[in-house]
Amino acid sequence: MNATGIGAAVRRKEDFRFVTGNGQYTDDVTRPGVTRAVFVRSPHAHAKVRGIDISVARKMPGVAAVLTGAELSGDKIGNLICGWMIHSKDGSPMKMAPHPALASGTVNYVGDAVAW
Amino acid sequence: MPAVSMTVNGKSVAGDVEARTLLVQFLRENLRLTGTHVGCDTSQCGACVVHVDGIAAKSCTLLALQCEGAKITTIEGLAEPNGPLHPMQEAFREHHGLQCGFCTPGMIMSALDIVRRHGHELDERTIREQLDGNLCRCTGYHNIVKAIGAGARAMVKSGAPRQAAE
Repeated sequence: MNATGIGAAVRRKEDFRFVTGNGQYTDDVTRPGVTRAVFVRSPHAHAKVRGIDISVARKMPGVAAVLTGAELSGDKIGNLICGWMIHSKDGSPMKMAPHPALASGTVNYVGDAVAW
Repeated sequence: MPAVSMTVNGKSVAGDVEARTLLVQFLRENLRLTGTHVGCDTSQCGACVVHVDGIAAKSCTLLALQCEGAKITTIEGLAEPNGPLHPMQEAFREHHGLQCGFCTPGMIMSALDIVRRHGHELDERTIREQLDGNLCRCTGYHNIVKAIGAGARAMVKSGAPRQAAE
């Protein structure tokens, strides 16, 4: 293997900060007056959401907002988008099931977000 | 709130914390030492490993108050700022023992503890067994194992202490 040519090991530029603990991952970033978000997620793999009582959470000190699927659909915020739509052999677009950012009506997996 | 004081990377630090505050929260939020990561919060991933009085510990599983008076070393404390890297850090860099880097601080701190307990001549099997408390999700174990073996040997040459807290 040539020391400088093809096949030579090349050091990555970013490794110095990672091995010294100076990476800046999202959780490492703090800004003045930062607001934090917490998600309430489904403990069930497939279930109907009969109701979400957010009245107590809304009244808690320091809470800026509590949102559920109802607020999202009320504001006409639609589906999480599919990053790569494909087509069937006959040219028709693939069928995409609804996948709102916050579940409304039905949760489809453990961890499906229901409130924010 | 109870007061706590300890030595972190050679500096005396103190703060008021809730009794439930974890060591990793104290390090990251109070001291802004964000090199120590929280990957799982459940003692599985090892991204939060630091040295407490020279022994590797998962800082998500210790209360800050338990570390009253302790000497803590984090990834930020291994090398002097602007100084040369610790041989183990250098080995990770040299052997491509990281991709995204999230698990790396914990890997390096655990690696040093493996050297402390098993010496500088480590075979692959020992390294792999001893590393079972650290998860890498880039699946970079092969190069991590190589890096630890090389780093352990390089520490002899450089005379780096086997315990970072020393």
